[in-house]
Amino acid sequence: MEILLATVLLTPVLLALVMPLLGRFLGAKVGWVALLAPVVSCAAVIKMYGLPLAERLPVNWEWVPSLGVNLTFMPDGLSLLYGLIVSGVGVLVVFYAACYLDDDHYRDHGKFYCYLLLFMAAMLGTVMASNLLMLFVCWELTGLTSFLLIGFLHDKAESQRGARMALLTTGMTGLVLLAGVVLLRVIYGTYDLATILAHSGVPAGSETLLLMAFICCFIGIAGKSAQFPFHYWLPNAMAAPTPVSAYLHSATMVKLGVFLTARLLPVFNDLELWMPLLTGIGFGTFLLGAVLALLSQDLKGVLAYTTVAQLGFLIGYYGLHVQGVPVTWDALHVLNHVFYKACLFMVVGIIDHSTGTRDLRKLGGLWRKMPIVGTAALLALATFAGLPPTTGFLSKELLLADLFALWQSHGGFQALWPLAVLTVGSAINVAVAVRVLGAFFGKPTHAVEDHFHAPSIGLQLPPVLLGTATLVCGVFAAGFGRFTQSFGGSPGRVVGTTELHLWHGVTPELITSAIVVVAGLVLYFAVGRVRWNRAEVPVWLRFDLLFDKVADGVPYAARGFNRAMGFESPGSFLYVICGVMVLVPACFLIPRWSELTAQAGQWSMLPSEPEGWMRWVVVLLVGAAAVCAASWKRVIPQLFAVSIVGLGISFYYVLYQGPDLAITQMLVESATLLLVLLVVLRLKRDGADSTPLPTIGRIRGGLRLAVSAGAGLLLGGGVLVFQQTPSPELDRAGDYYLAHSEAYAKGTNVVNTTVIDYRGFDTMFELMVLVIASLGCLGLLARRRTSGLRGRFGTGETDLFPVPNDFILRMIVVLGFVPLNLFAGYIFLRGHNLPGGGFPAGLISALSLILLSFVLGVHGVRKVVRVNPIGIAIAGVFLALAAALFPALVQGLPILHHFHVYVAGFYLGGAFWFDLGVYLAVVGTSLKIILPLMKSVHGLPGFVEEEEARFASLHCEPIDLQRPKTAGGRKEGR
Amino acid sequence: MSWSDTPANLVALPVIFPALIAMICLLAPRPAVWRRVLTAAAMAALLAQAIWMVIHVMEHGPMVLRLGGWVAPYGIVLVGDTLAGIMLGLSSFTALSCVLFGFADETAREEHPLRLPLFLFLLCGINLTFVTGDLFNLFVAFEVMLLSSYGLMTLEAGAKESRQAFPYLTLNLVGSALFLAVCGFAYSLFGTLNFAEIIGRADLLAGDYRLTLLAVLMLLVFGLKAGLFPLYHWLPGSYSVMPAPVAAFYAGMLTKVGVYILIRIFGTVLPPSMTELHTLIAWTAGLTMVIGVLGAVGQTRVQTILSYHIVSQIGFMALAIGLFSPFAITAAIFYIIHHIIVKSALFLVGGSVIKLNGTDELARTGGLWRAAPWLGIAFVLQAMSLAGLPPLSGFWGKFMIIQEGFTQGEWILVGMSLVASVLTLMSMLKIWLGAFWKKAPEDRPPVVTGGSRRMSLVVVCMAAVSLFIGLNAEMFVRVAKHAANETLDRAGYAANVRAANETLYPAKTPGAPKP
Amino acid sequence: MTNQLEAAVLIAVLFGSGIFLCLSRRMLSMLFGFILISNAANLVLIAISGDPTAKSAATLAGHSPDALPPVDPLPQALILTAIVIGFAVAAYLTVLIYRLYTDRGTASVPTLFDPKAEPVVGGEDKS
Repeated sequence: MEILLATVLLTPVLLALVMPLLGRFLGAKVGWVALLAPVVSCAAVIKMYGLPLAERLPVNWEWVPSLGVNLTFMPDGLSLLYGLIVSGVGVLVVFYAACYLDDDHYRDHGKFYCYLLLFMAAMLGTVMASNLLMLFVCWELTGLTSFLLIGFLHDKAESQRGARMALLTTGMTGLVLLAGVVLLRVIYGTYDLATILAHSGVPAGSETLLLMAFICCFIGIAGKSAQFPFHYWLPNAMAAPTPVSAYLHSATMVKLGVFLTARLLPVFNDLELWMPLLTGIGFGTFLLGAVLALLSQDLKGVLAYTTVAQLGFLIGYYGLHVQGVPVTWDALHVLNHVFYKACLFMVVGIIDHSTGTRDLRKLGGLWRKMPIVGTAALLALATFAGLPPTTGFLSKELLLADLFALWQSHGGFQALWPLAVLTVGSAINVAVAVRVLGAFFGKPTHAVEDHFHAPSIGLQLPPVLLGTATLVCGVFAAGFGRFTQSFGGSPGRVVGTTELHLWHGVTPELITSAIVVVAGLVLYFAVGRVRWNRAEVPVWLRFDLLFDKVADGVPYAARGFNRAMGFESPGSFLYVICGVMVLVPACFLIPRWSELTAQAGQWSMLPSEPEGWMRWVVVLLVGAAAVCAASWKRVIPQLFAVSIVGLGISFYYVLYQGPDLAITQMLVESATLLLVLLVVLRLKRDGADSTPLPTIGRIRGGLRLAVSAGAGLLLGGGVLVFQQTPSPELDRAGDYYLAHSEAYAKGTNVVNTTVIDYRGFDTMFELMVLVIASLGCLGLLARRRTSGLRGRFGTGETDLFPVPNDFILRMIVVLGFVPLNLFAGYIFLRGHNLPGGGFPAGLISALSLILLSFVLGVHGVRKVVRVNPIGIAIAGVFLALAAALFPALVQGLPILHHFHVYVAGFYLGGAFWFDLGVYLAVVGTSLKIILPLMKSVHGLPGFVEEEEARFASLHCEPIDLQRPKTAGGRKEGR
Repeated sequence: MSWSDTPANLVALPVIFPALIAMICLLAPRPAVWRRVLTAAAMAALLAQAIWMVIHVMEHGPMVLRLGGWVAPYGIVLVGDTLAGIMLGLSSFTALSCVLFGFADETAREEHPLRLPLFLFLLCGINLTFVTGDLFNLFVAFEVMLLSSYGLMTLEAGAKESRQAFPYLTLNLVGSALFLAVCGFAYSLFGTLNFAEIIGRADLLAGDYRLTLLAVLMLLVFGLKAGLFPLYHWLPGSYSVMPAPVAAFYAGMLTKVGVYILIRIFGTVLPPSMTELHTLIAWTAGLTMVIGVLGAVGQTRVQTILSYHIVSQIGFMALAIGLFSPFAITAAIFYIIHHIIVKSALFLVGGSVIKLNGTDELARTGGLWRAAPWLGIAFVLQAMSLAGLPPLSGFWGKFMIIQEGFTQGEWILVGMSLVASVLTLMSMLKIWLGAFWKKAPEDRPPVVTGGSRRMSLVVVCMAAVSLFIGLNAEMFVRVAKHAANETLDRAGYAANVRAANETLYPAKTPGAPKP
Repeated sequence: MTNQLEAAVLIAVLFGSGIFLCLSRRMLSMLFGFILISNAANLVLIAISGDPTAKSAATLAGHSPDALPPVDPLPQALILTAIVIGFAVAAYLTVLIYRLYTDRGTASVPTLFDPKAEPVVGGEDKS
């Protein structure tokens, strides 16, 4: 069994994979190789069919057991029937395609057969699967491969359109089916079909779930089988080459819905909704399809709509079988449809091939040109119209019999209206059949006369076979009936015992079909061929147009939506972010307000000691400065206010017993201000920021005020809340640091030991951050040009801020330079034990150098510091890294483990080297950031020679080569 | 167990190594071939190490490194557990493929000399976020990551693109400030910043409003990083203007870092009792999915479409987090594995489209299905995987999420995810039709060069990997499940970190752990 | 238990006015805003480190047993790191603003993202 299944499924896959390669060498002939796959699979299926029921064991290969998804197969009657159809028709279609797709009209044959075989494999997988999820997987794969097949001639616009429509529709409904499948899992706790089918009746407590599952599954079914309201995609899928249409859209893929209905029949058909939904949609679609078929002119379109109709017929058929009334003859109905519809599609393909048109209005008199095809067509159409002695007649009679039986048992409306629909629909079908037949009789039209070239025998063989099949099976009804039943039943379907006869006396069924035929003929001839040819599908039935409208409308709607969401204006999203940051916490706090206030009652807010009041003074000062910064409009005053804030904060740190913080804060503040000043000066000189912006609207202004006030309150309140440690004796990490700093970190300045030792890892990456920032700034100072590599830059240096030629100032700075750096060294050395350390020291040195550059110009500084600053930085980081990795590499200790070395009582342990690294990195990076910026701001392209020649791509140019035409001021005016 | 037999220092390797290589690259100011070789080799090594780490951890339990040898809750610790290992592997894999793609794109001479160093720094920062077990260290990691990402973003920008960095930068500055405040709050609330220690102390505070407030603030900070609704405006504009290899790496990793941290914080660090927050996450996720994908369908450029899809995919992962059950977290982790690879591969496809067609404006592309069939195959696989079509990797993640959603009875959220999937399919289809099936414009037929071939090769390899994930889902689901259980086992996490204190040291061991 | 109300007030004012500046449309104002915000964030760290009254700095050099108890060093260490990082970011932001100005000839956000506005420097080769 395993081997058989493997052959069935794997042969197409394996062959498919080599197709594109072979296609390159063989061209159209690759089709004959491809023929191998369906033949082999078909043989294997027949072999399985030959096995006695006892030996048809389910097969189980593990796939994703932890999700309950396995490759399990259940070769019961249903699977084998469909397996045979898929592989059998596969043989015919591939044969047909091999004759049909010649080299001079088509290309990429390899790809074509690759898709086709993959599709076949997916189909076989779907019908054989007995694990719902795996079934779904294959189901979607058929959709995907059919998408590729429909769009095979993708240079044509209508192919793209049809393919998109098909994929979106089936994909959409497929997802719903997935939902249904998962719901079944939720109900039954498994994906294994056998287990699910074993349950009989609705499991208690999950009626609604089951109902939802049913609806979801049915939507999936309707989508795949092109049932109303999804019937629109099938006719548009006819853009595919005819063999594809014959295979997918008549015989196999669209039947999947029918198949799944049969599969899940025992699960769902206890629901009250079963009968109304299936019969309603099914027979409704049957009628709709028939009407649309009658009204359309393209032969393929006609066939597509009749397919839709026939699928409706089949689904409605299952709908009739509420509990107690078993399904008996579905195999016969399905086979019947396969025979004649595949045949008709192939005939149409031949017509298209040999006359170059499929338009009913342009066709006529084909009988004389190709009698064989004509015969096949005649038989197929007879079957389609349900005339004896074809299988179509049998099928129709059986359904009518079922309906009459239903009338007897249940009686009344629910049997009568399907009867009526069926009668009308079949009558219309007869009319359609006559119309199509019209293409063969009468005298040949110009289109036929001009372009006709006879089809090859190979091309005619498959349709003829199928055509005769309808006749033979019809004549030997009994045998055919026994054959259809010989596949054996499956859950919910039983093997009928009644003998089929072509002639079974004058029964109501017979009379009905007689009426149907007469009515059909009347319908056709009453209107007459000429007027039928003028008919067209009314717009309100063209669902495909509607679909396109939606599919194209969504993007427009979405774009509008985007604009509404403010994607288009990145300037204003900060409002959103800040607003959220205020609102969300507020929403969480409000319910807990009482709890909060209750605690707030016990808080003692105001300081008792005088130094507490000192802090208040500083706070008021800083706060006032901050408010000024916020409210002032001009840049220089703002800058002033901000620097006041920074300074005040460092005082605040002093009062908070953080001397290191105070020093660092002050230094960093001055460095930052220096940077900002450089840019501000430049912008002011160009008058970029001079003209005030138009005053913002009141609402926006109010919003701004509210958001910022809220943000302030949030953070301030948060501080108040979190200043209350949950328990006073909370074990804080800081206490541990204090306790062990002297003993183990060999330093008494615990802040420093924390930075360098306890949390040295942070510091290491803080250095990285500095280096990265400097690199980032370098990157910013050169711009990628749109075209061409870099040539040489002119070094015409237009110094916008010439070096002040003031002797006193120069002397002061130069003389101050050395002591400053000595001080830096002192700060550095004491850092481990007293406030100070590598970081402030580094900043001091850097600042001293920058001061120097103010008076000597940047080149002057380069005379003092000959190495490239980035080199210093890298050396520093390497030093720190080395100090960190040394214990790990040498002693096998954890990274950053300290080691203590004393040289003449002077501490030279790991911390020392690490801190030295910090010092160097800080000096290097701050120089690297400030000096190039200074030069660029000064408009010195020479900067490029120096920096960019090193760290810029050939595609870059220095940003300040030419001064921007400062439309800035005026731009802001509007 | 003695120190020598746990190679704990290896946990720091994925962090130190890229930084080291970056510094070495910086020694050579001009781009050179040896830099490329070195970088690629380093990333390959990191990938190997990550895989080894996952295997090792799944056998022997998480690896804990006490930096500086300080006693566990007080010093900084790095924790390498399964989840971290997975993320490390993903980051190095993505980085590797992106730089290789970049190598195929430009000659060594044309390459920007700062690209590789910054790229490596970015990798270093990202990896640090995965292994760190300390809140403030996480802050530092984020800063490393962000600054290098700013740098990369503006590095090769022309006058047109540079402005896109501004929103990204400003936003993250606000985020970082808030994060810093959160660190402070956490320290005052727990008296420690160490995840493992916070676990225990947070349980004592369960139900305290301060804990909830802290959690909300964290959600805001990391939601911003992850690009959750409505904190995602910065994402699409800034991603779509970068050079493809960089953009691909961003698309793959950056937002996922946020997702990872959400899993880590809400799964491991904070008590699982915060159901209201989980619900909040779930619903935000739902909105993110739908709105993100709505943004995508309106776009007409490949890279922009893909950028918006990042947002909507984030929604799927966040939804899984919000559902918050072992299975849901498994789904989230599996989804991350799938998504990172697929998304960056798609961005690389976009890059190849630009290379071949000279633009990724869908109106002016086309003809690639005939010109570059392999690229087409790769795209089909990845795009369908993104849309969640079986049996590709994306399907499993989506399917697990849907199943969990139904099991918990979250009909509407599942419905949202289905809608999002349909729209995803739609816009993937748009790219396929516009760039691959449509005829190329007569004036500019696609130009196939050796470079574009090599680029396609990289993309195909990534597609192969994600196909492997899809077909061999069992293995990855197992790993994800293990990772999820480990992540949710908070006591176990804390115990592991504590247990690291038992490892013996030579002399000079800092005092015994405080009682 | 004591609160330092003044710290909370300070942080509230700084953060509030910082955000206010961030929401302005001048890039330079935004820059100032960010400087204020990061300062506020640093202050949060110090503000939760407990009441400094009757405490000494965290330097134990030559401290006698009867000396005042030192303050918690950890938050201060964190602030040190944060200050440095803040400096790096501020520097980058400053240079970015300058760069955007040279690209777009403007220093205001609305003009920067005005869909009609084109870069004032085409990238074409000037040499």
